[in-house]
Amino acid sequence: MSGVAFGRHPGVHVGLYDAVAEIVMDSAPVNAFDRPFLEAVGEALASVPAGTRAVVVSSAVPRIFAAGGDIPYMARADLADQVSYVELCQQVYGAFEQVGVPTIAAVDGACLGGGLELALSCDIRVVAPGVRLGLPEATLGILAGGGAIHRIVRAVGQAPARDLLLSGRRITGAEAVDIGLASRLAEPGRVTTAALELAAEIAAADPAAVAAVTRAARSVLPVGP
Amino acid sequence: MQASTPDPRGVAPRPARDPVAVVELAAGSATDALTELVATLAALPPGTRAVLLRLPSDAAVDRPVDEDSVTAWQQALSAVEDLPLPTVALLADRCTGVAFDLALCCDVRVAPGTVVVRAPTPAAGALPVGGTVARLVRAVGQGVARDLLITGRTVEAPEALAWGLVTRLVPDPAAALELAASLAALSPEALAATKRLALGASQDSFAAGLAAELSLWRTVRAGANAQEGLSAFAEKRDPRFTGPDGR
Repeated sequence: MSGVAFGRHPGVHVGLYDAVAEIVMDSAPVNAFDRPFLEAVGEALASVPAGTRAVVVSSAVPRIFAAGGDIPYMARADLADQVSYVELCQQVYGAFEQVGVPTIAAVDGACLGGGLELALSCDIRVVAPGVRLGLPEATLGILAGGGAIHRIVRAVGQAPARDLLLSGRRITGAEAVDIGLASRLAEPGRVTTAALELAAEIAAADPAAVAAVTRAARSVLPVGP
Repeated sequence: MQASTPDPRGVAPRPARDPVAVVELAAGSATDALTELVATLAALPPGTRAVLLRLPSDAAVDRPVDEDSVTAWQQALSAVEDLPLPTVALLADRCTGVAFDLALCCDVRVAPGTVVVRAPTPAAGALPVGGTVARLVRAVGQGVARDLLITGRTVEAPEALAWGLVTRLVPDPAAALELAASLAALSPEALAATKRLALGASQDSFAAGLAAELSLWRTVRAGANAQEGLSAFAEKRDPRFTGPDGR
């Protein structure tokens, strides 16, 4: 591995393992998605070198993947400023769905609000059974505006999606796998390793074929009649 | 708290001007019951912020008999689905016939652990008209939906939960009411916007969907309830969201 401390923000690192890039969120206490941090996550993704064949996004903060938006900021900022913040959220999350290689979220801690928006933008979610996942926006009087309403419906169908979206309830990683919100379980403390191993497996396959399948799968409307 | 009225359905006494409307499907033909249900929902008191729809275990299994009544079913079921309020379906031990059609129109489906679910399909002697085919596919995906629709198999609680035919198992009807009350306490405009976007997400283009999320985010955020919710979170207190009737 050639580890690179990502230069622009102390809370975002990029690790390079052969053809796999790992974007590590490391902004205690909760990896809150304030504007500079989110911009740095986006820049880290844009910085992965040519030849990268899979990207993992993980957290170095114990018991946290990412706990979502910067609520105190949203409580006080003016509306135009917040709308541009939500646009930034859409851009950064969307980049994980548009980059030309598979993206994997390694969820080994609380994954809430913007954290789940980011994870939903990845192609694959690996979770520990006990982590909490949810979109609590409705309980705050707002909505998930970063694309998660559309992404969760397309990922799991209307049935679990509307319950989760309207109630804001949190489910466990094990429940997330049951309903297809995540597709792989790993032991706590082993999630990032499992995600990196999976990324290495993907990286060993024909990159043009992987890219073509990834692009095709992302473009299908999966739950329509 | 206002004076309580006894609840004829035996759930629990509910306060007058209750933000939760408890609605029960009438006995008799499915078409008549649907018509009555839509009339009830159209006349909900203005302070209503969530609906609990109680579905009977012996729901009528008759189907529309001509083109006009098919159209009437489509309109009735869409009216239930499009309500701009959170809707909770409380299933009985058995969910079939028009109860199945209606359950799929609701946002949350709760059922006892003893529940058995069966789609109205040719194998069950019925046609899934009124939008049920599309709703079932959108709810649970093609993988499960085509099996249920083609074979008419009965589904017990564990599978129903895993597939989303029910979204939660509850120990008793009171738990369903509690859930509906918790939804009724949230911001009505945030819920209405989220519901509209979620329903659209099965059919709109992703680009249009993102634009709609941003646009409705802005509209909802501009309201007093969003400010209350965010401020309460920042101040570590419980929010108090206001309904359209100012309560």
